[in-house]
Formats: sequence, structure tokens, C-alpha cells
Amino acid sequence: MDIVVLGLSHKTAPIEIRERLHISESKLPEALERLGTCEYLLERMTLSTCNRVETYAVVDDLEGARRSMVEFMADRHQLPRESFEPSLYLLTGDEAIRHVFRVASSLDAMVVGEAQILGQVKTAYGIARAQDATGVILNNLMETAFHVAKRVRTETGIAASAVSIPTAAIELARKIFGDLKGRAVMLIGAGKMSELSAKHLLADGVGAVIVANRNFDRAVELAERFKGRPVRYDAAKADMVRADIIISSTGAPHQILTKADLEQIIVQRRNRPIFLIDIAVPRDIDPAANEIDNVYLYDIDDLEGVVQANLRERLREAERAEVLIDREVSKFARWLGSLTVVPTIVAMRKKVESIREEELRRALARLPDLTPEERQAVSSLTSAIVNKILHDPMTELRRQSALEDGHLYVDVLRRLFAIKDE
Amino acid sequence: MELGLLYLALLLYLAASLGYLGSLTARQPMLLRAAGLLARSGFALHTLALAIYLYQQGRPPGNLSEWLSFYAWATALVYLATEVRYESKVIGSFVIPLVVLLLATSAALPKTIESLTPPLRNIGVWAHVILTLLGNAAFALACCGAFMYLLQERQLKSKQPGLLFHRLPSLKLLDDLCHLALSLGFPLLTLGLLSGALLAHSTWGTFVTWDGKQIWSIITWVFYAALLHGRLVGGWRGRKAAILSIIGFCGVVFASLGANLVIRGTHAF
Repeated sequence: MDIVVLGLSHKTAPIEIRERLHISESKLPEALERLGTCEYLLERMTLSTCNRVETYAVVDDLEGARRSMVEFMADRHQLPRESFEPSLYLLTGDEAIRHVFRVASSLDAMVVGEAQILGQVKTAYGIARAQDATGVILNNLMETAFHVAKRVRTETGIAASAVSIPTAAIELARKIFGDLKGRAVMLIGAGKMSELSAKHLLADGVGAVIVANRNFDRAVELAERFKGRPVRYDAAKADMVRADIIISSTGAPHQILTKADLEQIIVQRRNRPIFLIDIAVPRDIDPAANEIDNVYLYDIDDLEGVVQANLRERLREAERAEVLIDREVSKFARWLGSLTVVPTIVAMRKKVESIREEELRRALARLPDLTPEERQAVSSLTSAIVNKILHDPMTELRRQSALEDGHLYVDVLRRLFAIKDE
Repeated sequence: MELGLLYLALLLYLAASLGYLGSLTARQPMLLRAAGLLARSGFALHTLALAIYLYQQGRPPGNLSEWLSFYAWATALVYLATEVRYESKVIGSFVIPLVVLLLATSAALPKTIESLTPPLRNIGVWAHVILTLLGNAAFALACCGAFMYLLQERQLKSKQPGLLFHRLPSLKLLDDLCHLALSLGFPLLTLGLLSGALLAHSTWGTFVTWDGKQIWSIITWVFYAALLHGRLVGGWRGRKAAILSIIGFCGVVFASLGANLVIRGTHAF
């Protein structure tokens, strides 16, 4: 009986293959149902995201289970096995456990530390559990994985700093202005990057959005989208005094803001700091403006530099996360090992024996006038009672452990008799 | 006995400093909390030591060593108050080492009292000492805040944000802190100078004795008045204000220590 991971991810297969094996959320229950007809799969769940399709299972025949799962995939998606089989990986034992923990903690993701995967794993698990496709082992594995993911997120810095240009811009804005509430943003020009940044800023509580565009209609349209105010392009400079953050991405072939312009603006703002994000190529704003006190100017390369530096830190933190995960894998593997019968029977006997001895001692202490033969008889009595009571359960347990649901019996016994892990 | 407590307090402050500096370089939330705890423990012992000293001596600090010890205490006090207000323990990384420096210098200097000039025995002196002590502590805090501001500003201007960038608070917070500290320090300094003048008058008959310390304190006062005015009215914000705060603090340091060591006068310690 073993834990198994079978699947493919962005690390082993390109999108063309992944997309063909994708199972949408609504189709998952039916897929799990069909997978359940395979006799070798005792427990199962499937995770299907844009970057991976994996099945986590508890099996008692590795080769049989693998064959069934691959056949299922080929059959369901009407694909020849050769088209995807080379991209598949099959992990067992500790490696399987480690993989599940790493995936949930976003260490196996395209961008380490990304936040979506944990929710996706939880959803996939919820669906599998709702139709009883999982059992004791997978349930414990997944619950532990979520706990590990939480530890990784809080105890390491893998998700701490910004790794995309818009979020890096927000991070910088926060380090300049502290709280972004009530701040004013001006968008000059338009473009995906600037709109994304504006969206993030709004989500962070920015107060006002001013939109300037050569094309006034476009300005009006954008302003509506961001619940802001449009201004005429030529009049924009007057409004700049009001803006704490300016995102510039016009298609202009020349600079629209010179150092002198900014010197004037900062004086009019009475030295309240201003953060300029110049996403345009060629650049809209004179780079020399960064030399002005209280003016902070970042162009697209600068922002990319910040992102790279943060990514490097993430990777360093990922190493610490791996150490944390290693320890958790060992812990889980120990629990799994304890589920086999023999240690349980031994522990059980030990516990019962210590109870017997203690009670015998107490009883004999209250009967000081017994002869040695009588003491022997009392002792034999306790042994006989204990052995007779334990006989049937132990026999049945040994019998069941050879069958497929044996670990369930072991687990229940451990819980009922409060037998702790060694 | 109280000397032992002081040394223990110094040790705790030192341990706290190491914790604070460590938290700047490594990602360990525990370090920051531990450092805060150590700093508070050090402060508690420090308070106890000074309380015992005051009870035994019954007079304000009479020499440079004693004065520095009180100054270190006042700085720690002002800092702990801001920790509550600003919820950013990182500021401690800069203030507590300063406290260590002050207390260590205090411990290293001779403890002898040269002469207790008569003024040291009345209630007016207490007021004067406490006011100037707290005022100077506030300026120390403003200096630390300004220093951190300059560090963070350099990080942002360089476009290569490093570890410090993430650990230090925002420019706004540091600027606000600096401003708050100046706004507290200046009135305290003003009252300190006034009480000093009144004291001088009641003791020697003149408001201004023109001794080194007094002159420098007046110069410092004018400096901070200009700085505060510039901040409030002239839009002196950011880098310029930060540098001036640091210069002002150097003036404070000189007024307290240098003026004594270099120029003899009525403030003889």
C-alpha cells in the first residue's frame, strides 16, 4: 500500500499536451467516479490546473495502478498513449509526499510563491472528498499539506515581495507614501501595463484617478472604468501638481516631461514627494528628473530590476522552505509507517500489560494477608481476563491487515485505545 | 548595587541591539520580537537603577557620566513611546544602539563629582534638567529617524532596493516620526532654556551667563526654530530636512558634551 503521484506539469510538458489532458472542475466528479472503478486505487483525487494535471492516489499494486491511470487518461481524452506518456512522472513514497507538499506550498509553480495554487488544490480535494473518493490516508496527507503550505507562507519570505511589474510599482509606492489611501494617481496615455498598475493601486485604496490622453474620448472611457476624472492632454500639466503618482505610457517619440517641468511641479507641490512610473518606450520622462529631491522616477528597466531582485530573494527563501518541507515529510512518513499492524499490536499489548500490572499491584496492596499461592492465582486471573478479551480483536486485526482496508482498522484501533505514535 | 543594575541594563540593551541589527539582515520575525523584549527589560532595569540613584543622592546628575546615563534613559523612554504609536519596531534598530553608546560612554567616564555648584540643590534645577533631558532625547530620536529616512531614500533613488528597503518603514512614516520628534523636542528645549535662564537669574542675578553650554544651546535652539519653521511653512521636506535634523543633533551633542569639555563655565560638570 503506497501513496502515488502520477501526472504531468509545466516542467515536463508544453501547453499543447497539458491542455488536452485538462479536466474542468465540473467534470472532475465524473472523472473521479470512473477512476474509482480501477481496483488498484484505494483512494484518489485529481488536480487539474493550467500548469499541471496530477492524480494523487493510495494504491496497493503500483504497476497495475499506473497502467489503469494511463489507460483512463488515454481513453477519456481520446489520445494515443505515446502522445503524453513520456511527459508523465510517477512518484511514490516519500517523494510523492514531498511533491504534494511542494505543490501546495507553490514551490513547484511557474512563479514560486504564487498564491492561486493552494486554493486550487483545496478545491480539488474538496470535490474528491465530497464523493468519498479519498480516505484516511489521502485526507491526512492533504490536511497536512495545507498546514505545511501555511507554515511556508508565514515562516519564509517566498510570497513576501512583488514579482510582477505592477505589484513592484505598488510596493515602491508604499515605501514612499506609506498608506496609499487618499493618494491621487494620474494616468498619461494608456496601455495594458499602466491600466493593470492603476487597477492594483485602486485595489490598494488610492483615492483619485486622473486620466489624460491625446484622444479625449479614450481618456473619458478610461476614466469611467477607473471611476476617475478625464483631463484634456494640453491641460494635463496643471493637474500634475495634484498627483502623487504619475504613470506615463504615451506613444510619443519624444519626452513629454523634462527635468525643468518636474522641478517646477515639485516646487508647486511644496516638496510633497512624487512617484513617477515611466512605462513608455521611448521614455516619456527625462531620466535626469530622478536627481530632484523628493522626485522618484522609475522606468520600465528599473521596475524589471526590482522584480528580478525580488525573484532572487524568493528563490533564496524557497531553499528555506525546502528544509521546512523535508522535516514535515519525515513526520508524515513516520505516521504512515505507524499505520502498519505489527507496531500497533505491540504498542497495544504494551499498554494493556502496563494497565494490568498497575491494577494488580494496587489490588495486592489492599490484600496483605494473601498466601503466595493466592497471590499467584490473582495474578493468573488478571492475565487470563486480558488475554481472552484481546484474543478476538487481535486475530481479526491480523486477518484484516492482509486485506485492502486493513489500515483503516489499524487507524481506528489506535484512536480508540489512544495509542500514540512512537 | 545600582551600578550592577546599570551594567546589566547595558548588557540587555546590547543584546537587544544585536537582535535588532540581526533582524535587519535576516528574515526572522522572532529576532525582532526578542530584541523588543530585551530592550524593554533593559529599560526596566535602567529605570530601577536610576530610581535607586536618585533616592540615594537626592540630586540631579552632577557629572557627565551621570548625565549620560539619564540621557540614555530618556532616549529609550522616548523611543518606546513611539514604538507604541508607530507599530514599527525597526526604528529600534537605530535608536537602541545609540542608547548603548550613551550608556557605555557613561559607564566608561569617571564617576567623581568635581564640585556641586550651589544651584544643584533646588527644585528649579530638577525642572531644568528634566526638560532639557527630554528635549534632547526627542532630538536624538529625530536624528535617528532622519538617518533612517536618508537610508531608505538612498535605496529608492538607487533603483536597486536591497534588504534594507524591505525592512525599513516608508519614507512617509520616517518623515512623520522626524516631524513629531522635532515638534516635541523644540517646546521642551524652549522650556528648558527658559527654566535655565530663570535659574541663572535666581542664583547669579543674570538671565544669561554666557557660558559655553548656554551659548551653544541658544545656537541650537535658533537652528531648530529655523528647521521647524521651514518644515511647517517653507515646505522643507525630505532629504534637506533630514540632513538638517542630523546637523541639529550634532549641535545638541556638542552643546551637551563638547561645550563642557572645551569651554569651562557655569555648567561645570
